[in-house]
Amino acid sequence: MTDQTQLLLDTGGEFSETAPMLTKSRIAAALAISMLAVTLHLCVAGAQQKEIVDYLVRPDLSGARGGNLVASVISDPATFNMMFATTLANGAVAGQLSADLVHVNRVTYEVEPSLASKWEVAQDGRTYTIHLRRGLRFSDGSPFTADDVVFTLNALQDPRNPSMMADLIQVDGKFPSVARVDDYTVRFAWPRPVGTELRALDSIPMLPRNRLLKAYQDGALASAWGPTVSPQEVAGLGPFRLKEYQRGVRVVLERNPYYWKKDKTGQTLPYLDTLTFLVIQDRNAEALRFQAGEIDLFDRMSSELYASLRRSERAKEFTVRDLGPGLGMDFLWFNLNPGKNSSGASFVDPEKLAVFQQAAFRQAVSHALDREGMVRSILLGLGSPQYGPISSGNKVWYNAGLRTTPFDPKQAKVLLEQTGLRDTNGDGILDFGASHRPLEINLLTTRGSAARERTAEIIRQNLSQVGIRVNVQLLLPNELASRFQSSFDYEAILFGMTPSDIVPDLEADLWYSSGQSHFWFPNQTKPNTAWEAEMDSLTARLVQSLDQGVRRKTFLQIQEIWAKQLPAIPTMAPDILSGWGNSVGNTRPSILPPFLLWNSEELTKSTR
Amino acid sequence: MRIFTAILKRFLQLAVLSFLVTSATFFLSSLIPGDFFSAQQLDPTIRRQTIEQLRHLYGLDQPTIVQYAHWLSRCAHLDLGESLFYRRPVRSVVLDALTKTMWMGIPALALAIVGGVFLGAIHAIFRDRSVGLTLDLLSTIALALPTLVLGLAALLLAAHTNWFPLGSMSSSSLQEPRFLAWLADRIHHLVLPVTCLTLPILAYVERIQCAATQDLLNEPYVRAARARGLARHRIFLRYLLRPSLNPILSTSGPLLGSVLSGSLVLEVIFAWPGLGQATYDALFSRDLPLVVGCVVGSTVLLVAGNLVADFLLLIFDPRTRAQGGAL
Amino acid sequence: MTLVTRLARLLAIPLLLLSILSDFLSPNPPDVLDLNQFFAPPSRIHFVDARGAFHWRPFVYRLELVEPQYAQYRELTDETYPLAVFCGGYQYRFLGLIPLSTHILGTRTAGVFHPWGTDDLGRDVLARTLAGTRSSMLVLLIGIAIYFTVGVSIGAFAGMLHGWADAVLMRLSEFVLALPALYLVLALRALLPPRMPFWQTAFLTAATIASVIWPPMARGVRGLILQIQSACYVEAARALGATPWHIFRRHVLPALAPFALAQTAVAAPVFILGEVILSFLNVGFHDSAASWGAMLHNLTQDPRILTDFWWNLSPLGFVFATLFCLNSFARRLRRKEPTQLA
Repeated sequence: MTDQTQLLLDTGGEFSETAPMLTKSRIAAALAISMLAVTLHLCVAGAQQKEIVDYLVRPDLSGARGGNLVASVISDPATFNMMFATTLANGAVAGQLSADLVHVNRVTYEVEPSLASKWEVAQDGRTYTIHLRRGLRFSDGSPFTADDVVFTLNALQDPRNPSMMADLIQVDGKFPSVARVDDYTVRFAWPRPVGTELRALDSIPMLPRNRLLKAYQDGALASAWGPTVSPQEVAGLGPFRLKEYQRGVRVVLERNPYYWKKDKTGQTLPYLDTLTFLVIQDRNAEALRFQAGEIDLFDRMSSELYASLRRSERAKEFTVRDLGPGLGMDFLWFNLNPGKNSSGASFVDPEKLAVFQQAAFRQAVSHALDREGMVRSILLGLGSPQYGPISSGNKVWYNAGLRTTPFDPKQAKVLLEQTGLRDTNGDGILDFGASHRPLEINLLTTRGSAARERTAEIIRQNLSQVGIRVNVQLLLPNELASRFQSSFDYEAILFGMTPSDIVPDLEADLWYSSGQSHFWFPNQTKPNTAWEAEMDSLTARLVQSLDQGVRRKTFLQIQEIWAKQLPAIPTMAPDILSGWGNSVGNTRPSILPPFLLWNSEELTKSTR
Repeated sequence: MRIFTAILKRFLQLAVLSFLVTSATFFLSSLIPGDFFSAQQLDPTIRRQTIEQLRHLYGLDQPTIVQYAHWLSRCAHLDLGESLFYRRPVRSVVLDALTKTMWMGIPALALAIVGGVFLGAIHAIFRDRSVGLTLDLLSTIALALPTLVLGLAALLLAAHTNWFPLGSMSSSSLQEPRFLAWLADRIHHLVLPVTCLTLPILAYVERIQCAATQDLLNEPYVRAARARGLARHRIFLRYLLRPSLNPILSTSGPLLGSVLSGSLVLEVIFAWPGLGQATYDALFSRDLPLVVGCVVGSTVLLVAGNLVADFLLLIFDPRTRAQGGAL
Repeated sequence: MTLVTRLARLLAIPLLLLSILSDFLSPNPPDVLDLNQFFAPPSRIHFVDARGAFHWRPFVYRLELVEPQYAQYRELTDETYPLAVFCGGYQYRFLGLIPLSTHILGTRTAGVFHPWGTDDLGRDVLARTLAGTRSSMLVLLIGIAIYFTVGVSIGAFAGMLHGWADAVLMRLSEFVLALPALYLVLALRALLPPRMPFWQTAFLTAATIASVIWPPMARGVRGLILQIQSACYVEAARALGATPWHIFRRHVLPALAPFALAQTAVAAPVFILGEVILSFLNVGFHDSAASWGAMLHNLTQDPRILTDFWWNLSPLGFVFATLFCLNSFARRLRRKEPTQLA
């Protein structure tokens, strides 16, 4: 019809007298019909527009659809609700089933929009207006609206639901407030302005209100999606949905047909048809199956496994990569708590405490440790010595100019002499205190981690070279925890921490001297030393400042104080070593959990 | 009638055993500070309050006596509580694990007994010939090779030759297989662990059988049979086999015990999700309800096995019936 | 004498001596780390040096770490370290008392000659394996001491004092027999606080194993006592007015001895094996204590040991040899035992 109109217009007057069809009434009729058609088209389009889904388009991404990717977990998932996942393995599975409002890109460490398409911050610096994507549906087809967001965040704050995530969104012990503005907008307000903005909302899963409201009201939200739940019950906005679960064997996830991301060709993600998690408790069995090609992904392998995989004959069928130091590292620290227990005895022998409290003693111990030797023999060179409170793997926040304490037993001896320790009876061990007792320290560490046990053994040898006798005692992690958190009954501990994100605000409880996690001397009523007082004021500035430059500078200073005072002596940070089969595409390995699966919607598997 | 009293006696034994075992486990673990959630306390991003809430949810903040009392009262309903690690009823975890252990244990036991009986008899009959001497040496060697050595060597073999799968129970590539394919795959996974479990037990059975057969060979009725000119294999099958089973079935206790112990080590090595693995993991994660459940489970298995052995003894050896049962 | 018995005799004495002579036989101390020589292969003994000259005295080269990931070494051929017999080396205490520093074979400089290579932290494997005999022997000795004492006492009590003591003890032994051994031992040992001090670990390990295997001894002793007590000569002694203690000391004990010793010999390999398994499962001795089981535990942590660093497997041979000897020894004793108790 358009062509005819065009023809009519083009040929204008030439044909006007030879086109007897073109009477006034007919033109009117044609116009009317075309108007009607246009109106109808607009109406239909309008109706369709109500159905338009606000997809997140990835213009940089492309890939082929299909395939089953096989990963592994070390234990059966206890729940399919990400909010109540307590272990990394559980989170790896449950995290695929849900989506968050904003997401931290595990490679660039930047906060990116997820279910929230954009947000604005108000003048007060703490209130955010979050705009949700429109037209999204949960994996069971029900629509996603602001009600679900409000429901989720309220459920998180409810003390009846013990979730580890609840602690992550608290500021100064208070929860944020969330209110619905309209179907696709929420107003979210922190108790006070925070420098991390919306980062804390990463990984908090948006739960379907319709499905879980009853469970929540009954106080049974935590157990609603337990291991015996039927797959259709679990609805989420993640790239996959639960298909099948065989206890002790595997969890099978299938593509979520309602997933809201598209690649550059307009194809909806994820590319994979299914994602299977095999339950393999033994790491060696897992490694062998990875080599045999039964598993496609293997994250965080040990150095030995990495070394043997690199050399393996099948090296052509998989790739292993060293991603550099991770965020986790081990610390050796002495009990600096001068308090007394319930029966009136000091936690630590007061004369020993006097030795521990001298910074020169701690620096001497640090000089006595052969960190390079540890990295070489325990990690096979796949790690880095550390000298500060955070790992050098945290490229965004690490203070590259930190002072180091290189391996120097002579310097260690000099420093020890400065603290007044002498070997009075010639037995090779330094003596301390009024009665010149030999300096013997009980070092506690966990049983079950070969790397840590070996580190303890090396520490023992290193310190005996400078005249300190160390007795290593192995405890189960639970026992160790109660020793340094409840009973404070220890002299020295070797233990590790792995932060889950790069921002230091997460560990504010550790920097503050009043914090529970200030592990060498927690819950101080007022700072015990001048440097701890300084750290307190710096930490306050860090968490309250909004200026990223100020935050960074402040944290650099905190690291410097730590490197000088060494309240806990860092040892080394192992590299993150991951591997994947060559048939897996679009991998973007990260040192943050979930390591290789954080971009599961992008991954492809070529079926050959 | 005697059989019923025997069964009743075993059940009573089982009940008292379970009671004693769980009491001991409970009080032993109360000696040590820290519980299941202590490990989570170590994360600086988690509030103390959350941990306390979780503790309260699972009843871990009450004194051991109270926890024990709760446990006992639940036992009356055969409810063994909930595993802290799996968040599932202990009963179902233990039953699952038990079944998987039996997949490995029963074929091993059967092969060991059948093989041991025959090899032991051959050893006894041909005691002074080279066959006998070789068997002597082989069985001593097999007894001296602990299952852990055998298991590790077998795993190495699997890794290098790729003839056998490497641990676990089934292949991941099998998606919704038919029964026969599934069974074949399961057997493929079973070959190595069962072989490792069978060998030492076979040696043990062979040793007993050899001694028993040797004694029997000197019996007058056997001598008489040989004098009559009966063929060797007929003598063996008719006269020697049944009475020689007596000592083996009588030592069913230690035999089953070694099956359970051996399977524990092999399960850890081969990542076979059976009762041994479950106990080992539960112990290290301080999942107390599961530890107690596993020990009770293995006790049940042992006692049930003994019961079956007694039963078989009654069937095979008429002398025990006359004596009022070997019970 | 069968081949088995001959082999057992051959192996038994050296194994026993090893635990006493372990320091003498190893050129390096068992607990000194060398982080530059981990997983070093066994030292190669040369007679001809890099320049082609022949030396009457064999020598070794020092190793240099080339690639930490694969533990590749190359020999530094510029300096030779000649071996000497009865040479001086590190100081040790013979039998725990006499300080000596002579070793059967070694070089004057320590840390160069590793006859069986080194382990994951650079400790000499030969030294650790030999030192492992010490922990196994310790567990064995403590274990059989407890086993013997507990077993004989309980059996004697049950046998001598009839009535309810007998019934209770026999029921107890039945219950313990009915329990799955390794599960119980594992649970007991894992729930007890893990202790690092050598002696405490040895004692706890031995005690745990003994607490589960005492019933056969007790029951056998009890049965034997009942038999003896009904014998004529005992009745006669009783008629003559002998006290129960006198009967026990003069008549019962001597008759018990063969059985008790035979039974102890049967239990001996169980202690060795039990200690190895418990250490392997990480609830017995720890890696730093140089026990065979703990050395084998490393196999589960690092599968490369099975393929590339096989010299770390030497404890396997020792475990096997020890069990072989003990089993044959027990078997021979068993054959001599009176059969009415079978």
